[in-house]
Amino acid sequence: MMYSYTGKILHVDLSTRKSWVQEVDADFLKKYIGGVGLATRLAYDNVPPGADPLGPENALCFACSVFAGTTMPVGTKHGVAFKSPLTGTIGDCLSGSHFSEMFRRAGWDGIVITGKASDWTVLFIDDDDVQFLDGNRYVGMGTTETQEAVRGHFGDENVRVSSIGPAGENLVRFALIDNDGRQVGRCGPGAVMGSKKLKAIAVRGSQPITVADPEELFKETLKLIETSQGPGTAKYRTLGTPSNVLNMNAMGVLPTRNFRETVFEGAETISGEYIEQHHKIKSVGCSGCSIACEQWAEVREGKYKGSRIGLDYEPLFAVGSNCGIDSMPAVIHMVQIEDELGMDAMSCGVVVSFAMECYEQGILTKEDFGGLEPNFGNDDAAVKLIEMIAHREGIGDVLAEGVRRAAEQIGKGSEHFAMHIKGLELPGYDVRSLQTFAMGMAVGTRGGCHNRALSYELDVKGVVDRFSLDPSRGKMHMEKENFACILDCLVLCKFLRNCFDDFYPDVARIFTLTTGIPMTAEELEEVPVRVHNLKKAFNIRQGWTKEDDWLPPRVLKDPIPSGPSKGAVINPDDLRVTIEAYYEARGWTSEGLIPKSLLIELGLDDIAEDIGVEEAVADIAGSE
Amino acid sequence: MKLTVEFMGLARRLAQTKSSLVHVSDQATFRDVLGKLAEQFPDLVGPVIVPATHDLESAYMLNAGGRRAVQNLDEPAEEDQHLYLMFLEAGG
Repeated sequence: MMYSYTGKILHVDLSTRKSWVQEVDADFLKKYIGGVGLATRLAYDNVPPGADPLGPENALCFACSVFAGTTMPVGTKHGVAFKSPLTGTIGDCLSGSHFSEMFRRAGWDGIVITGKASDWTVLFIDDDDVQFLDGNRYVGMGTTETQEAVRGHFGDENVRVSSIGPAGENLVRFALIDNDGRQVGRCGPGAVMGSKKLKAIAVRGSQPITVADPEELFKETLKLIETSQGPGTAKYRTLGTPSNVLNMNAMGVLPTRNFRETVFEGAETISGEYIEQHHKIKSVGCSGCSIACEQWAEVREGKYKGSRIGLDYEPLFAVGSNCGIDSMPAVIHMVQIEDELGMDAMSCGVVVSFAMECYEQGILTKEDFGGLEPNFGNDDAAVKLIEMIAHREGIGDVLAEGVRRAAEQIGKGSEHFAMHIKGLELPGYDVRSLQTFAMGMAVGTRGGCHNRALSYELDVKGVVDRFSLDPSRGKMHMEKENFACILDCLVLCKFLRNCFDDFYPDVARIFTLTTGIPMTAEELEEVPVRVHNLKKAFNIRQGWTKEDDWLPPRVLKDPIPSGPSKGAVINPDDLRVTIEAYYEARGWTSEGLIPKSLLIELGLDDIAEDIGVEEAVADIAGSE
Repeated sequence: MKLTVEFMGLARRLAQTKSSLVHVSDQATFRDVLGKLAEQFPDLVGPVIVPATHDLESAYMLNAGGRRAVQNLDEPAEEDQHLYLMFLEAGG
């Protein structure tokens, strides 16, 4: 008997307004666990090769954390996977909130949504009853506004809602899905939802969540809560991730003015320390979280008075230093409108900074911007640009495509400073001064993402020389990547990653106490290897080539001009050699393809037939 | 010799100052610098600096000049060095 899991995947076709149930067994669930792992498997099975990411054939696949709604802290989360409209590769995201718990209480391990509704729709999943409701009344509403309105329609606080904002409706390629103020943020899931004319997903569940051994699991829960209140998470609990602003600035890593520089003269006034002194309301946690890292901040005076939002480091860098903006009230306002309009604040900030550099270099003019003068530091212009992007007005229509496509359209050398990997805008770390991480993001299956790479830890903590690359980094990065992946499959928050004595044995035991399914440490350790290969297989089947594993021109050609990281630049030859060492560590061919034998060893026999290569053939191909 | 220690994040909150000039002997190590900080800022002892050994709690690190993470606290410190005392777990 399984606990926590239900063994049921709900499939919904918006085109035909039909739904059906796929039953899965313990062996299947044990291989992928849940979250990103299970969602990616569902995406592989339901997104055909060559699918248009914004077409009805793309599948939006939700998968619950195995710990959602249990006593386990920081585990009430869900994963979402789909073909990304930004990258054309796997988009795998995480979020955590009451939506995750209600999803589990409704009795589903996963939900797969395909097709396209004929008109705007709200999908209502009420335990095992699926309804297709008119969504037109919510069109134009912001993300949280929609959630409140949908809940108001039902008159029931137990109806939890995931929704898109105007940006998703307008197919902005970096639009997000919001649930309870938390976001399925990166890679454009909101655009996929918008392409299906799906404004919101409402879930209500009435079923109990059972675990195999409640007493023992509760003991583990208490232990973990105690550890998660210790010094290893103190930063998150008091200042949150915004405290990274000054750290990154001190080390010459803070992206500034579209990654031109790495030290921002205005860092103090956009720092976590400044938020605490001038703007903090309180720390807020996700559902079931014992850490509470999100710093809610508000503007108390001036032109942005009344704006309030939860802040993390990544949005701060994106609309702050990277746009040359040192006003915390402006930052709070911009992140608030990005969230409400329904756009990934990281991608959106990098897009705005790209537009600012286009303007400063004379590539785009005041006329192109409809009379705006978006110099770095001009917060009024930045706010207006964010709104224009969400509504695809004027130049906003071009920028809504993301920096890769925008640069291709604008041309005139702007490709040099379009800061993305595989089309996904970069996170808040200048990779010229974190070179293991640079290689890790280059090979990342979803593009420019810090949360899947994790190897910045090796660089910033001085485990390796962060200003150079060598082949040893390939294996080191792979190990970090696997660790990030297992957390994303379980799902457990990454901020808990240092809170276990012996991670794999401890978590394997917790998994068994929760589900009743026997799991050894060795079996658990295989899961991220399997899931990472699955993500890569998804990409290969959708057209990935080795050339996609590369970095933007700026970090390969422009040395950092000043500060502690002055002179740092990535040597392309070293990068190439290190990428090949990473492929070798993964057991892939020198072309980055996966041998059939490896896929079969990982229990992915069907995928071996789809995309696996015979090793001998691959070696020949690689030597040509 | 003298060095400057700049406090970041939680350490700044506990020290209640942005930075401090620290005077130590010419042969002092980074551990000696932390010992001096423990005297000057008792609130750092426990949450940041381990009382008996003057090690750093595992989440904390010293960075010299923004360029180099200090790996060994028993290395000699240098005159006029600018050190950052930070809690560094990237993410979020």
